[in-house]
Amino acid sequence: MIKTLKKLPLVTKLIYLLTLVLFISWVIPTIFSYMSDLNEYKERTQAFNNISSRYAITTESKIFSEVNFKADTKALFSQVSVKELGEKNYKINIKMKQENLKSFKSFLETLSLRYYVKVTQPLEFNVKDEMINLTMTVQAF
Amino acid sequence: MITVQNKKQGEKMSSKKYVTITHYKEREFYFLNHAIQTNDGFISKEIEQFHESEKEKLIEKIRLLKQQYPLNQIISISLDATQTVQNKEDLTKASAEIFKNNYVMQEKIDIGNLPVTLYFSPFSILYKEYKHKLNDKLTLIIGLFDRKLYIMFATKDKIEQSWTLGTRGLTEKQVAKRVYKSMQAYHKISHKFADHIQMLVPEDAPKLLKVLREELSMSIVLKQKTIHNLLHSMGADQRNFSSSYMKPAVRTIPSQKSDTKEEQAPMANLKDLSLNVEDTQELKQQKEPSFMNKLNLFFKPKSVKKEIEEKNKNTLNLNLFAPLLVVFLAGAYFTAQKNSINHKIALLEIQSKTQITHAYLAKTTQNVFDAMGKSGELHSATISNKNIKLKGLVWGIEPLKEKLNSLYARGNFNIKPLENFMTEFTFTANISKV
Repeated sequence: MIKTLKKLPLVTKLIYLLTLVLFISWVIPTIFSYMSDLNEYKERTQAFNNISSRYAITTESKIFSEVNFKADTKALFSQVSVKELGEKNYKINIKMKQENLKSFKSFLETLSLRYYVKVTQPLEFNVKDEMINLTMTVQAF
Repeated sequence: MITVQNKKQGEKMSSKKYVTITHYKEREFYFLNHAIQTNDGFISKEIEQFHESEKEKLIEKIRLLKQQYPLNQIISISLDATQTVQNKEDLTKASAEIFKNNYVMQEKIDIGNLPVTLYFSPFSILYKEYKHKLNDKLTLIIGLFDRKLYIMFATKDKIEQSWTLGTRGLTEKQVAKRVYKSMQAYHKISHKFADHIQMLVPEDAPKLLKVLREELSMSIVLKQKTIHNLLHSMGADQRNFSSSYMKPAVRTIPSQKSDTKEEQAPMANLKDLSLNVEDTQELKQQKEPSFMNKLNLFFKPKSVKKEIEEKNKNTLNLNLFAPLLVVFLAGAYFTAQKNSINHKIALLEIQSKTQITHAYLAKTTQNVFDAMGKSGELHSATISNKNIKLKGLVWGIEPLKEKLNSLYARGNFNIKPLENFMTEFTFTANISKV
């Protein structure tokens, strides 16, 4: 083996050396790092699934879209409208009866489990004749 | 006294017969023969045939012959298609000297573990058969062995060019055309044409001879001898084979050898002809394209030639860079996978944190509305995890104030009487949590 290597041309030797150096200094550490990250990902996924199951959510998280959001919240609230503000920001307007406030609480608790979004601005409530008009701003991530 | 001793030794030697044992493989059969060498020529015995599955039987038979005739040479022929005659000896290849500056060479000697003491190239045999006929004019010498044509242009001084042509699967006409094209190719290089054609065949091939004569438009002098007889002739006298048998590849440089060593080498090599396949494989080196390769290219169209040359270059480069490419691909693959996993981890982390924030915000909202109870009515509220601002009507000032202060101790509760005898309240508070 060593004799065979000795007989190789200089360019070939250099290429093989570069290959070895890259393998040791780049490929092997990357593989180990990837394996470590993979384990962390599994652990985090398990933890996230535990949270989801606590709220009885069995579906995977979705990318936020006006159509999806409206379809999903249609049954929960009296009226829902979504307005895109740009840069992945959306202004959501919800009308609901005051007695349905508990539904809103559950909805808000599970919002980021169902969609890749977070509430970025304070919630603004206006109450008139037992009807709550809520305005919230969310940002997709 | 010395003369008497030599005479006695001579008598003793003559009582032992010197035989040449010959064998070679053609297709799936081995052919074995032995001949008793005499002063008047050799007396050949019956040819025996062994299937390749009976190799052990063949080896046993050779062993028995060796026991029977202690003075022997075991001779075989190299039917390797890659052998060529070159002007310079390459010590990294198996070689045999034909002329002073003509060496027949092949990559390695592969006799498949069969005992051999002398190994001859068809080119050496052709030269030995025709050397007395060679003169200053160029002669084309063709030998047909095992469906391959061993061809060389020779004069009395040297072998100008040599090559081999496979005939397997080709018609006699196609073979003849290839020989003619080879001659054309050689003419392009050297501007010479052969004046005579000599042909040596171990078996009768009248059709090939006829077509060759037609295609080359020249008379061909034919000689027919079996391979065994050719080999027996080669092994008859040490003077015949002392330089022309094929020696395995060596590493030493010729200039380091003394003249006396050179003289001793043939006999020493007879014993050392171990034909180590591994050693010869190690000595493989990249070489320039041979005349044979050039000939093969000559038969192909230009586009194919270019393609083959490009392919050879690419294959070489690819082989060289293959390990590097594999390492790059592996590195790139795992880097991409790692980045993908990291992105997913980051997403999960954001989702988990956001879920906690949202749960807290939902709880704050619920607390605010619950705090109203029967003491007040909320008209507007701005709620975040940092602060809350509430505005509405109040009926039971103290209970509402107490309730809100119990939730948010540092809150600011204000009341304002309205014209319709109602009381408006406002409440602001900073939330320290989250």
